[in-house]
Amino acid sequence: MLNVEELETGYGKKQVLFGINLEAVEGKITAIIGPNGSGKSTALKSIFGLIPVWNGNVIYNGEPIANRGTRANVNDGIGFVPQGNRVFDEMTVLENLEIGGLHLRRDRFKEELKKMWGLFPELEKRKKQNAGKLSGGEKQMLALSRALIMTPKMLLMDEPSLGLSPKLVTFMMGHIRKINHEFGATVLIVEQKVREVLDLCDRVYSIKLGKVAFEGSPEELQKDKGKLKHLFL
Amino acid sequence: MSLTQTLVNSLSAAAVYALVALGFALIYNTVRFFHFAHGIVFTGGAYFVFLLKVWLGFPLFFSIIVAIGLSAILGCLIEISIYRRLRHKGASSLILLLASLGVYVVLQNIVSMVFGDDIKTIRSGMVEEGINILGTKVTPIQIAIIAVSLSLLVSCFLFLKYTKIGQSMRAVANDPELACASGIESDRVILATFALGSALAGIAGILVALDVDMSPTMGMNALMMGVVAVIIGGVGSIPGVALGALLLGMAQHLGVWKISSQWQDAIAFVILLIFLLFRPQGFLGRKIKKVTI
Repeated sequence: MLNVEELETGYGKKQVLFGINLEAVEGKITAIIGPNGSGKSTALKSIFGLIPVWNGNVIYNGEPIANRGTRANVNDGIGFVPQGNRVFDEMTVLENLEIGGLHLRRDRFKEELKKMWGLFPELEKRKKQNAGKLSGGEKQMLALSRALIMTPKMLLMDEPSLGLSPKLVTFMMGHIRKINHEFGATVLIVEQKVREVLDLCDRVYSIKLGKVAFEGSPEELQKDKGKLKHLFL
Repeated sequence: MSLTQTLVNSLSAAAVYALVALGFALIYNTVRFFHFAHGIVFTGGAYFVFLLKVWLGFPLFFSIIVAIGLSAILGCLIEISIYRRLRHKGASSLILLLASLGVYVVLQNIVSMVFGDDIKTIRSGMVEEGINILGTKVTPIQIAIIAVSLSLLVSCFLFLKYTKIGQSMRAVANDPELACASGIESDRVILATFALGSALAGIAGILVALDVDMSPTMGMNALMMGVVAVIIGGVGSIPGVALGALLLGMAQHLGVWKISSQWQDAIAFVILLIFLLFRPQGFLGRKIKKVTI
């Protein structure tokens, strides 16, 4: 579904990624792990078009999509959930979802909105409340719903557990699995909470110093604690 | 001058300040730098009408409509040719402010070269006497200024709240990166904001030109009053902008009533200083940790 080939990118003149390759298989959950500053989030942002790809290809359903802009990606069924429970905090919960579904027809939006209220009933209760006043967990639910309302075929998630309590992390991981199973969305997730994400994903990549240092099944890493430790040192 | 007459005059001034302030605030909220050239768009509105009506002989109503459109186009051209290029090169807010100041000076000089530095007027014939309402003289143009300003404030509030493009403007103003991640094209939204904000500035300039007269430097004072109204009212709030403009207009005209007209600008800036010191978020604005110029 998504193939990243020899991807190079960075910020200004500073190169962060040095030719990474990865694949997200349709219907599966693929995780990217690695130490702080290794380039995980940068990889996700460049795949989605938030920062330019310097070299290499991003192929989505057989089509090159590198540097084509986020609007085209959203319209093509790619959703993005940024790091840090980010919501439009000066807008209401409903308005946040309206922004997520900006490119949908009104009747279709209403249908999708019902699904989101079903998935996260807490949000419906607070639909007229400013999103800035939500708790961390509720913000993450809203961030997820905002991306889901376009019924993406592929969901890119940047550290959804950041800033959440352990209980909420478990809750959120459960929902990501549900989204993958029930909504049929392919998930590419960047995560620091290694234990939780290894329980969740079907395939895992580890990025270290801007290069792919490991590629394989989560079980492989779960069995070999030494290798896992090495990837984070 | 009676108190009621002073109140009518202050309402009329507040209505103009509110339009300038609203246009400025819309643009500032989206691009986060001090768009000095907003002042020259205000001047442009007045001079476009002068050009079309007085020099080219078009009817007044037609001239006003075209001038509003030309003001919006002027704002968009400044955005596309200067600001967007600088933004894409990663320019800071300070660089954008300096560029904006440069645009203001260059365009003001062009206005001076083309039209001359002398005071001009759109009106032909004698100044109309005001209508007597409960002992207070209100001119038709004052009524028009207040009505136009009120209806535009309400329309803008509804536009930003209920239309897709209005919501996109608020989203970009709130969090540009998140807006981009939601599939909103920031450049298009910023351009639409410049069009709307500049049209509002152009309308304010036209109303002032119809009420009194015009000169190439008229924009700077209007811009300053607009900015003071934004700060008093609170950045990011349309009702706040209206309230700020009203307070500013009232304070200035009550000052003129009791003291002297030469203190009008000083009163505005004293109020500004008081707000900056004791309530920097204004009446209805949110508390901000950091301000970009």
